[in-house]
Amino acid sequence: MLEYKNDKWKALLALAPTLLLMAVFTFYPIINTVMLAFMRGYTFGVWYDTPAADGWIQHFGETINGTYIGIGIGNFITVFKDDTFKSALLNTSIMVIVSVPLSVIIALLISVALNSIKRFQALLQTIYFLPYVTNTIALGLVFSVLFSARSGLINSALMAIGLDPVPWTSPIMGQNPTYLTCLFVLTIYTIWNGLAFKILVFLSGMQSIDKQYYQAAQVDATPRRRVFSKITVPLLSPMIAYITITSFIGAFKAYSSVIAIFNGRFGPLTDPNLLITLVGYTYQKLENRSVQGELSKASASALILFGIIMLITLVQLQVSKKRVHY
Amino acid sequence: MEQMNAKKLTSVDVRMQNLTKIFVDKTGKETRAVDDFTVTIPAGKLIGLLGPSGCGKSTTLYMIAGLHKPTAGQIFFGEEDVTFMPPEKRGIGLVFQNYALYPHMTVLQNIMFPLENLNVPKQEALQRAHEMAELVHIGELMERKPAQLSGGQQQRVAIARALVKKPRVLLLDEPLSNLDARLRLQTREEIKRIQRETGITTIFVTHDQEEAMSISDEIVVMNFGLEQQKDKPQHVYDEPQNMFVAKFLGNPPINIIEGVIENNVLKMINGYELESIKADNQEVYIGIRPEFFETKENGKIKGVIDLVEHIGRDTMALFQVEGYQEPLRAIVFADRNLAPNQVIHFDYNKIFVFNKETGARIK
Repeated sequence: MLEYKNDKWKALLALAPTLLLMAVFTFYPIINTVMLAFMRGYTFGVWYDTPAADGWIQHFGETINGTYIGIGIGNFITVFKDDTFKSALLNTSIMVIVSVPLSVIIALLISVALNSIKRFQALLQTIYFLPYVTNTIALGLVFSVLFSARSGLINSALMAIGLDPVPWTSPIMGQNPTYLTCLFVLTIYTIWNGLAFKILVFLSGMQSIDKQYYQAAQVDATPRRRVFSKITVPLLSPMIAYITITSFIGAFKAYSSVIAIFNGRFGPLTDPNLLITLVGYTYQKLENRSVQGELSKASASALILFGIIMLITLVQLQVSKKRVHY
Repeated sequence: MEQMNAKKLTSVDVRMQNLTKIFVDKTGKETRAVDDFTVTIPAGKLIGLLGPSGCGKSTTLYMIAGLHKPTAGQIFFGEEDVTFMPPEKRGIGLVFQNYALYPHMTVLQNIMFPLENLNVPKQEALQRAHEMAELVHIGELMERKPAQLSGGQQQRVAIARALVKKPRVLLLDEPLSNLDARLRLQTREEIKRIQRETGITTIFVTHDQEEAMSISDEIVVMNFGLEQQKDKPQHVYDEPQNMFVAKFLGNPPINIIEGVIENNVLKMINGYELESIKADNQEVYIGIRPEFFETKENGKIKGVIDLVEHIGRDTMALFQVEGYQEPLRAIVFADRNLAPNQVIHFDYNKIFVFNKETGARIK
């Protein structure tokens, strides 16, 4: 291996650009986030504020940029006591618990159906995959139009069959949207938005299952439901585990879906924080960074989210060791 | 009494009448995989469907199983017409080439699977699964997963799974092709034993003539979707009906040389007169199996030895004969001191003569 002894430097040289970028935009921010989360009274600065009355000189008050007064877990306590954070935690949990299992199951059923269709399979696969290549915000707009109170397709359809329109995300007939109606729209959107990729993974997984297992099952007179539960699902379990874990992570990071549906807010006009999520909460705190200590709260909530995702992923990996057949 | 006969299964004969399968590909091109195939497989026997790859033997097996629908013709199990019966109703056990054991289930779960589908009570199912496991000698492996088993063990599990629901017919697709040489020998004895003990009509598909000949009660040689010959293995070997069968059976392969019949005398193209024959004047192919040769002074065939290989008990010699491009192969007892470039005379104790156009046997 003598002739390769200089390769270490060549390798490092090749990796350097990426490493440099990652150091600046990934590693440093991560370290900084952790540090910020434990700093008390950290001041980020006020220069993003409107210029002071005298035009040029900015008022820094009694603090100086980049300073803090102490270290501790105070930020975490403050965040946990914050009602907005509590509702963000609750909202995110509900979305995760409702949308992840539903979307995995629906994707599984659609994949099985698609896999059993021979004619038009390619066409249908393309149709189901379209949402994946479409912009999230654009899809959100389509959904907000679809569920719009006055001119939306859903309400028009309801009225056409003689039902009252529902104030999905905006008021109608003196009724305001409720938590349930908003959550309903958001859940439908989230599930549908995530289906494409899941179906793609499941379908390719199913197509790689040896056909002989199904022939063997057929010869043994296996009912269809048993074929699904005893053969397809176990043989697909690595894909199911992968999709479930990534969906959990994705659902905990929910942000743009809410923004897309509520036009840049976290809820209807009547209650703009109704469906705020953990990432949404973090962003809100970030936007408020010029206020002393807010940046640390953003960091703390980000770390809490990280902790939750890590914990759930570890649990899932543990469960999948027993349930997944590689 | 009941217990003693538990292993014995009811067996039926399998009749195929004018069975035809035509595959049509995307361009509309038709392939006749099985062509007007009429064969009766006797009840309780072990039958090998033998042929080169693409001869339609697997297609035939899958039609018997019901996984392929015939284009024309009928299949009977006993008196029952099963042509349009779905596979699950036919009462067949099928062992796939790569066994198709469910990888996520234990051996026991694999064997129990068909019984659970039939809603057999758990206690009885367990008992039957264990009986089957005993029969195929895998009783101590019940809690293992297929990946933890050797190829031969996997195959026994597959056979147990196929037999546990007491099928009328057992079908095996290339049962030995995934096993190494030693296991192959052992497994073919095993298959024969299991078939004997259960008495089930068993049809297996293979391209390996030695495999087919060693365990079958009868073999059906197929080519181009057509039956070439059906008989006891040794008889097919000794009396092939046509040149394809003669060439397909036998290892090392039969020598096929050109010859002529002139005035009721069979001659080689170099003029050597072999024997008298009652047939019209024509060009023919002559088939002589390597072991049919014997060295003899003043033998009819004169050759020059090319190559000698001592293979244990026997000696194999390649020798050139005047007028022929390809050397002929002879297998003789090793006690001859054969050497290259030696001139030698051979006689033969048996010869096949085939029509040059049709390949049909003349003598």
